[in-house]
Amino acid sequence: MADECMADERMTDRPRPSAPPQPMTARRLLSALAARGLVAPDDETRIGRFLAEGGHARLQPLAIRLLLALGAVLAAASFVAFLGAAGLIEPSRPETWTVSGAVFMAVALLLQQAGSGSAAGLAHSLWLQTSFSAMATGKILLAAGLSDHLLTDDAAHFEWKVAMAIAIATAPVFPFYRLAVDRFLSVLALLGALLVAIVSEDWRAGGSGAPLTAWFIAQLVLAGALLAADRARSVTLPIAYALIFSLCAITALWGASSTFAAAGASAGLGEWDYAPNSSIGTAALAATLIALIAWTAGGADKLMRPPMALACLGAALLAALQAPGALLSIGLMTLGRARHDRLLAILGALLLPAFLTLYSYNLNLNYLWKSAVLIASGGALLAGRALMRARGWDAGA
Amino acid sequence: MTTAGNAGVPLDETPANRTLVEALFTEGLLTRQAREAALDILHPRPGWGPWAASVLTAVGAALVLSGVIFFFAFNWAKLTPFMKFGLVEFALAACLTGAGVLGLQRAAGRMLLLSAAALVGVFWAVFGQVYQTGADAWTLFLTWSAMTLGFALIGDFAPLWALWLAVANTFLALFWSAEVNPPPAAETAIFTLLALFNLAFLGLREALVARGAAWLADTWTRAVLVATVLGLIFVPTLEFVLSAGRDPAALVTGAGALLGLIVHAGFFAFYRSRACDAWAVGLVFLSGSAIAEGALYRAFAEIFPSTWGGAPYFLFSLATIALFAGVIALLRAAFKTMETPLG
Repeated sequence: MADECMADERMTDRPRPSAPPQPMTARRLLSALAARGLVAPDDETRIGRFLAEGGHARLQPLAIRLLLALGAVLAAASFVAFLGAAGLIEPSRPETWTVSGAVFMAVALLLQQAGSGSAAGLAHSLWLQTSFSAMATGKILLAAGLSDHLLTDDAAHFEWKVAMAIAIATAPVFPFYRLAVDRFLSVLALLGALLVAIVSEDWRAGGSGAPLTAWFIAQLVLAGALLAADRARSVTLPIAYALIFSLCAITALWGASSTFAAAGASAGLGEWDYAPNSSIGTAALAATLIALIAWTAGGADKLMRPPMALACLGAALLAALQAPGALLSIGLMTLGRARHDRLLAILGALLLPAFLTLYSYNLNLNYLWKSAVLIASGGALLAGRALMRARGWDAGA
Repeated sequence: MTTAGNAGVPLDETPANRTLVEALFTEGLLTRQAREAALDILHPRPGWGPWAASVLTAVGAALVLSGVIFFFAFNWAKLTPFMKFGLVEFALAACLTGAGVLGLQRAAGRMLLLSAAALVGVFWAVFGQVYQTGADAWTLFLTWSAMTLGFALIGDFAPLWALWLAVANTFLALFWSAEVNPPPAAETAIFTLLALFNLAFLGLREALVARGAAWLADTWTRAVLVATVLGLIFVPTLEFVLSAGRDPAALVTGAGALLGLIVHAGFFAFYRSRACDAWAVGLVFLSGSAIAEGALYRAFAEIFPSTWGGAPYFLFSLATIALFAGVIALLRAAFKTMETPLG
């Protein structure tokens, strides 16, 4: 009987048209959570007070963060142009950059303090935008000035000195300047500089890829720990997202090193034969994906269930095929879906076709073998899909 | 019935949305378990099974199709024309037959129809290679879009329409470049025309969804079309703003800018008040801010023809800050009653 019911349901897998969701108020949502024992009466009082104070209005949605960042970058570029035209900074005197940068950062902190009590509205937006623009200007000037200082006497290993300058420019204010987009961009800039430094150093040393792999695994572990943290999310989340972007950059480098070599050669940049080994990094990604599957399933013991075992087999197969990009993007999609994090889910969905294209383009095989690998891989996935349908695994909740 | 003392009013008047839940979680007022339960209530999702099945189907089909293309590339010189056409037509027929047997109500059937539509393009590429007629590339895309329009109409499958629109847009752009061959003053008119073309489909999408077309109701279908229209109309609008008054193509870019103004205002009005789509409103504000910044830059360049010791740059910075602060305040006010995207 159950199979017949299942069979009837399987006649169509069209989504049933559902009524548009009714607008829900905070009260109704809290009532629903309270009914499940997830919110206590004391919590409701504190939540009500938080809402009355307008605390929730200060959280920045993504579109607003993008506007903040865009406005700050444009304003910072103009401020730097102003300082240059006014003679307040000079390329031959890095101390002018350093001092100007420190002044702008101090102004930014003061503006943040001054605007912290304003209600959400035009005044608050003005404080915020002005403060962030000043901070962006200050960090750019300070990092540029410090880089120049460090490189004046000895330009060897300049990549590390630039990374150090960025770290010095961004780290001291990190605990005090409480803007998520600033924290994200600052950490991203530092990770980018460190990536360039590590790759350059590794290339000069022969290009084994070991330092890059170690750096990748360290970031993977740190990102996982930060995403799992429930406290201080305003600090941990921007860092975690920056780490994820850095992981994506390294994975792209693994997958496209031959493409970069060709592009560099055609652009007249000389020999770029850096082809780091990605085997250990790929294995780490596969292990992470399997751990993620276990977590979403409710524990490592659930991995013995056939659907989970099949998923783990898929992860192992991708590792065997040396496809770190596919592993990373599927991991992001899975993590995003599990955490209700649409940003991660969409990032993973956009990266998957890009990484698959990169993978197939850079496969060191002739077209015939490439076609065989792609058709076999695709066929395996479709066979897995057919198995899911046959077992009814695609209709579960 | 919950009671929360003096905070009863905010609870009743505050819409429950993702931003609220994230704010409460960040503040430590909700546990992780409560956060996930709240988001499940606000955004119920199908289970992991259907999700995994969709991913496997999409990626598997893409990999197989790519493999087929590489196979053709490898064997191209060795295959006779009969074999070339035979293989493509066999694959096309197999996909269409499979779609017919499985039915278009099933995801597998729709994926096969999508694959068949892609193979129509492969067929015409093979045709052009074998017969070397010297025809322009736009003829391939014209034929491809004409032959697959029927697939899209019967498929009720949003990704298939996305493929068809991509092919149709490519045809229009190539046709414009090769056959219309506009004078330099009218080159940017193609952006306005393509924006109108995609705008028509966006309107059709909204009308069909309003009439209950669930297969089009996914948010990505609107997001992609809105982003495409805004991206296309951005070019002539910005060009007009930056060069009006000294641009021989002012009539063309002016028409584009006028359409741009109407599109931005119309999108804001519709997606803010009628559709309540924060994604679309956010995109409108991003695009509009960039154009407004361009206008600001042009104004300063006209008013301050020389550097004046850097004063124009300083004033421009302040004006930029004021512009973006104003836009953010407006956007925040617009978001108040809408669900905000991505946190």
